[in-house]
Amino acid sequence: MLILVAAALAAEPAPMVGVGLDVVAWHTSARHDLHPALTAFAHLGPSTAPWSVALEATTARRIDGDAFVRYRTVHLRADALAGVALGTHATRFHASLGPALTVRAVAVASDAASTAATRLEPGVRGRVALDGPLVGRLGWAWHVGATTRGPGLDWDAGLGFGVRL
Amino acid sequence: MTLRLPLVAAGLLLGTACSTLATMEGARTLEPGQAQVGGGLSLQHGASPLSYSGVPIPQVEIAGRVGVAPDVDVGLRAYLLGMGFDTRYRFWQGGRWHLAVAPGLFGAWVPALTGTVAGQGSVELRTPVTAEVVLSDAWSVSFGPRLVLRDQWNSLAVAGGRGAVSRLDVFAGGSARVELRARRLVVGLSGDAFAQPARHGGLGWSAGVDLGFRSAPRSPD
Repeated sequence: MLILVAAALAAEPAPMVGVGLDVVAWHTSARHDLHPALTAFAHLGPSTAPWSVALEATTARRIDGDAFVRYRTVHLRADALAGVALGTHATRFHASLGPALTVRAVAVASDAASTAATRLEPGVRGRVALDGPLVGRLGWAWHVGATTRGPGLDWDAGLGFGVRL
Repeated sequence: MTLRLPLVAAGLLLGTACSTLATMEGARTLEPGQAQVGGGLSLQHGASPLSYSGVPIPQVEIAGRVGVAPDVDVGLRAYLLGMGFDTRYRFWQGGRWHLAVAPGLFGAWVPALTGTVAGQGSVELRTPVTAEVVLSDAWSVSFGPRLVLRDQWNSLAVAGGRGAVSRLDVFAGGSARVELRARRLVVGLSGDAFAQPARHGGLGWSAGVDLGFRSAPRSPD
C-alpha cells in the first residue's frame, strides 16, 4: 500500500480512460432501487490546467418478478461534465457539472400479455471524483454523483480502473 | 432493583444516534507519521429513528488519525452505534487556504433484537469536501459541503421465512467548524445541517465539540 502511495506521489497527473463498477440508486415512485452498474469514463483535459472534462456512459439492467409476471428494466445514461480539477500530487480532485440523458426501457411480460415502453429523460448531473496513478500507466478513479431524472434524483458511487494517457 | 441498571443502560443505548452527522476535522492533513487521537460529543437530529420524537439525540465518538504521506492521512472513527474509516487528501493549498476531500466508508450492525426483527444494519459512503482558512497560529475556520449516502436495512423473520427491507437515506448539506490549537491540543466547535432529499425527512443537524491530542511532527532527516 505504501509502495503504491509512494509511486503515486512520484507520478505526474494525466488524463485517463477506463471502466468501473458503480452502485446506482435509481429513484422510483416508492423508494430508491439500488443496483450495480457498469460505467465507461474518460477524464480529459490538460494535466497542468485546473479544469477537466469528463465523459461517462453507465448501464444497468434489472430483472425480477414472480411466477405470473416478469419485469425487465434497463437504464442507459450518458453525460458530459466540466469542472475544476486540482491536485497537490498526481491524484486529482474533480468537481464537475453538466447535462445528462437517461434512457429507460421497461418491459412487463406475463402469459396473458406483454408491454414495453422506452423513455428519454434529460437531466443535470453533478459529481465529485478522484483519479490517480497505480502502476505504470494504470490508474484508478472514484466518484460520487447525483443526476436529476424527472422529479427525482438518482445517486451513484463507483470505483474504476483505466489507462492514463 | 437488579433490573434497573440494565434497563437504564438499554435506554441510554437506544437513546443515542445510529449514525453521526458531526464534523471533527478540517482540511489540514497530518504530517507523515504524525498521529492524533481524540473524541467528540454532539447533539444531533435526523440520524436516528428516535429523531421522529423531535428530541435531539446525543452522540459520543472516538477518533484516531495518522499521516501516511504528504497531504494524505487516514482516520478511524467509532460512535454509537457504528464505526468507519476515511482517507483525507489535501488537494490544494494556497497561502492560508487549504482544500481537502475525505471519502470514507462507515457502517453499523445490530444483531437480532425481539419479535420479527432479525437484525439491523447500515452502510454509509461519506464525501466531505472541506475548505479551511488559517486565521492565526491558534485559530482556523473550516467549512464545506457534506454528502452522506446511507443504505439501511432490517432483516426480518416472519412465519418461518426470512427477508430484508432496505432504504436509502441521503444527507446533503454543509458544515462549519472553528478550531483552536494550543501546542498538542486541538479543540473544535462544529455545526452541520442537512437536507434529506431521498425520503423528505426534514432538516437534519448536528452541534458538537471535539477534543484531540496530536503528536509532534517527525523532524526531517
